[in-house]
Amino acid sequence: MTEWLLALVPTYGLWLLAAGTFLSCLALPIPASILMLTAGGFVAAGDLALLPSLAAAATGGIAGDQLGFWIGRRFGAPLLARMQRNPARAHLLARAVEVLEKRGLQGVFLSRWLFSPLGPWVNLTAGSAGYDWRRFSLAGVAGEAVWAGLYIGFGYGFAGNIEAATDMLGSVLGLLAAGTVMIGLAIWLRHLHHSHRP
Amino acid sequence: MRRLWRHHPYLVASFVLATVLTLFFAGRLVRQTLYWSDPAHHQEQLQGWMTLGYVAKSWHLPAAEIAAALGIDPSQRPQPLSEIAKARGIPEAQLIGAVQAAIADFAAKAP
Repeated sequence: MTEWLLALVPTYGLWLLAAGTFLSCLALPIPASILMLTAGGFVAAGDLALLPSLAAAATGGIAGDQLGFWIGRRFGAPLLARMQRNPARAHLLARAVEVLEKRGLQGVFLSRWLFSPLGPWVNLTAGSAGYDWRRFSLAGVAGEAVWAGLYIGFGYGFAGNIEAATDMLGSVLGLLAAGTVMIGLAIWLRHLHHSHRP
Repeated sequence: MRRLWRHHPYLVASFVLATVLTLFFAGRLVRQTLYWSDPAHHQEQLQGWMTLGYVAKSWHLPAAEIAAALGIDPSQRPQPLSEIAKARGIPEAQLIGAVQAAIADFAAKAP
């Protein structure tokens, strides 16, 4: 399936890239990362142009995010409103919205590329919980640009060696993700440690 | 630290786990960097989805000469090997064999 898809890249390059990132932002199982890495390789080989490829991949992702957000707003928000009638749930939901308001910008940005499996769910949640559309879009556009730049850039840098690009990008992102969680927890623990002191 | 462990065991355990994962990925990255920096591991095996330009880039060869050896017009729109094989009415494996032969030829001629 993946090879069949990759063979379409030189022919339908930009449309395929945009469609791939669009669908993967809606949680559909499209190998968008491999598509972008391969496109980067084709850019290096001179078969695709760099800027249009970047633009196509990022635009597809941004459009997918927006659709997810508005699906959440249209169908998720009424559901949440109904759940709020229960006081216990209302409390939890209020907490969730509070976290979103405080950390939403980083959350949306990082879930585009670093914790990308979370992306589609963050979109739905942000839409449902009434998160500010402008802030969502700002973080979303920035995040998708990083996502596209990172994958196409790695594909370009490792021109003609998708396996190496996939391997190394996997490690870089794994390292960044685990490192971010580690530092976050360290800060939290430090905070708790200090607040416990008599 | 001991008091934190007593009060927040899950948090401390998560921190330890995150640290182990960070070290794991760092080690993996170092190993991969060493592996892939060896030129012998650069060339990617030929596959149907690759274009001639892509193959040339992967094998560090001039695309135009490989194209000429296979009788392909290099100014033509880039096509994956599978498409070229289909257009010629030959099996993909046969075309890939021909590309490999052209690469070997070129390598033999190169100083």
